[in-house]
Amino acid sequence: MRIVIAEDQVLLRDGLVRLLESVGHAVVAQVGDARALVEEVNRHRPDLVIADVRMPPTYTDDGARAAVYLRDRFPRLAVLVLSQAVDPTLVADLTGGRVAAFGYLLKDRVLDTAAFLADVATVGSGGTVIDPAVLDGRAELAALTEREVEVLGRVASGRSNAGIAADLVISKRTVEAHLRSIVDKLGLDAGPEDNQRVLAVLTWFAT
Amino acid sequence: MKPSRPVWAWAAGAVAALFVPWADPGAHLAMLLAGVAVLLVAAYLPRGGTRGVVPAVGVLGATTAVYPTLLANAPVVGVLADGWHTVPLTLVQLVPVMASTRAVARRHRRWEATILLVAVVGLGLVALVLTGVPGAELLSLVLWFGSFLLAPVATWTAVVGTAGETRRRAILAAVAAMFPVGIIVWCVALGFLAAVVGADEEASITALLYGFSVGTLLCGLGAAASTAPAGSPALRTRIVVLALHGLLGTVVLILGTVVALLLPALSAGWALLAGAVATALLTWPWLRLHGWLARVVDPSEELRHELALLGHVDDGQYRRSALVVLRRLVEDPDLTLTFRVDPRTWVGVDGEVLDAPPHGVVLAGADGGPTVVALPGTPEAAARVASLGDVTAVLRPASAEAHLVHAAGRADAAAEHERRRIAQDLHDGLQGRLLGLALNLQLSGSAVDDPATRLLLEESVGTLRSAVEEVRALGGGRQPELLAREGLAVALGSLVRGVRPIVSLDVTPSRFAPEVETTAYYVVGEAVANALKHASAGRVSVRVAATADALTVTVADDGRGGADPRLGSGLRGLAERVTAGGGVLVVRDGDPTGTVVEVVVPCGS
Repeated sequence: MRIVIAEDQVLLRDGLVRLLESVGHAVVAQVGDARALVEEVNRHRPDLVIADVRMPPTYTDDGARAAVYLRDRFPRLAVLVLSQAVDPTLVADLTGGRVAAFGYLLKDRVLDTAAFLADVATVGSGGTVIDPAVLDGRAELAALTEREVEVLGRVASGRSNAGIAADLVISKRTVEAHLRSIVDKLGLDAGPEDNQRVLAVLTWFAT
Repeated sequence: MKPSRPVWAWAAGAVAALFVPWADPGAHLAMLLAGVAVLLVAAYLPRGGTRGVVPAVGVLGATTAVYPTLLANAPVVGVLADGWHTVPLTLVQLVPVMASTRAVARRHRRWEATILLVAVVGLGLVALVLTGVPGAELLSLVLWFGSFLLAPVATWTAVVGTAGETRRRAILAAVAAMFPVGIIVWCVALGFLAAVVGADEEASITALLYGFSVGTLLCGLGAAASTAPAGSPALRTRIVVLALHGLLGTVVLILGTVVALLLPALSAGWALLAGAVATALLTWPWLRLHGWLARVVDPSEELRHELALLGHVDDGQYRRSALVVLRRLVEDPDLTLTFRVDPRTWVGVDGEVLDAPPHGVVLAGADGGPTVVALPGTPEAAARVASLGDVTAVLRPASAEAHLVHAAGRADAAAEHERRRIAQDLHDGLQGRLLGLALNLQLSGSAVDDPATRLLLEESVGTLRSAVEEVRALGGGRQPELLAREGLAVALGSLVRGVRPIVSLDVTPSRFAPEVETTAYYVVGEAVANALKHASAGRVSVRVAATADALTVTVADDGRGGADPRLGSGLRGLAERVTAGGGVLVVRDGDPTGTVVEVVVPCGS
């Protein structure tokens, strides 16, 4: 894939470039601020953008806003957003109702190189990846069992039912039962399609 | 123009009027000198804007001076002499009215016109009298004497609604307007004396002329003082109050004299005594009116007086003490004060910022507009507040204090914001750098052949990962955005919404320091989660209350109970955070069942 990376921490950016290039991706541009990001994406038209939420000039949410803008302007562009800490409302704003080809991860995840590369591939091919940490510390989840929380985390990560069954070494029927229980306990309005479920989860968490 | 000259002219006139003997030529001389003195006063009135007053006073002085000459030649210019006195007498009324117009900057033209009209009509009637038309004499007398009430009415009504220096000028003009009335009263009294007591006619005329001189002189002086340049000693509050006292004193004297005169049956000695007693009796209420007089001259005087009575005011209490005094003065316990601290911001007495500019009575102002506005509770109170006029000087300490407090608060808020921003930057920068380091080491590690080196690198990466997690857990002072924006009540409401079973909330709406709010927020989240997860609670209640210096969080459930204080790394971690903030976290058994998690966090005001 052709990738543009936007990250103001030089050491981290270098590491990301090395990591991605080591598996054959082409990093066509690497920038350190939001404005340069938009320029380079305009010039190179990559397949995927990896951007830090927090970047110059204001160091608040410039990266996030650039990501929203780019997703609007280039509907087929895949965007993976890296964040210092979890902010569920920001996630909802970023997706803007469309979860395809979108990812939101804590920066720490890059250290799990294998998982990270897999997530990059998922987002690049149109899937959705949401860091399970988005679900942490929510009291509502206390109503769910540990198993159900795991399943929910994987739904948020965009895994299909089959994928979840494989991950947790349980049968698909069990996964579906868990899902029904989750939907019931949380009062979700989930559709059958994978991305729609993620959207439902996100929407619900964001409010 | 030297300010001392009118004083000299006044002194000369006074000396002339007082020390010349009562003999006929002497009285004439007195009038002459009084007229001259008035002319001198007119000569030194400030120019530029004193339209009409200067020439009017000048003409008044001239006619006063010339009158005796005309009288002396009475046989030659009989009617003219008789009629001539109308000129100075008319001018004597006009002068204060003109001075009042100038002072109050209101058009008095209709009053001046009215006086002139009446005078002319009166004069015409006098002419008719001379030709023997019946009834004209009475009518002319009524008109003539009645017209002398016009000037006082005009000038005293002009005083209403003025404030500050304008008010003092208006009062001086109004006092000056009383002298024509005094002259008339003097005239009537002399006539009465002549008729009843049978006084000598020559002496009567002398006394009349003498009274007229003094009256005219004082009237001219009053008008001159009223139009004096700003800051002149004549306009000082004490002088004006003194003038009012003089007026009242004269009235008292007149009344005493009337009493003496109304007892013709008694001998002269007893009459005098009766008069003296009457005067003394009337003096007491006169002196009691001093406070009222001071307030008439300067309505803000009372406010100043009351504030001075408070004595020493502590720092930070100027606004509140001004409010208390104002409420007492206008008898409105619901009155509030608002202060403008910058062109677009208004604050209340306790520094709270108002949403919109207030609509009330303006108490103080600067060139940019109103700076202190009072919001009275009732229309009567509003009228009373409005009558205080402009009390800018009196409220200056309170206004300055409001500015100071607001600026200090903004400085504090800015410093706090900056501190948090720096902490956030440090945190995020550190976390990012550690991460980059870890990643690069990891990537390098995979390319190294030597197993020992690779192991070393892996360990280093592992250490760095822990470091990254710890740094992230520190949070850098970050708050959930809803909590930062809306406070505990709203954020907790959002946190437990949709939780089953129902969590009942009783949260104070007040805001606290960000660290305190964050700690409370996470404590509630963790405690509620525990209650639902481990204790299978049916009901959970959350209570957040504030005392003077601490915030208390109580989460109680009716579940299984048997709380183990070592339970849950979540609560343990929170306990550390709570104690780091100087607080205390306690987990105990509920009554009759269940668990209670109680946290007390200090949050000094």
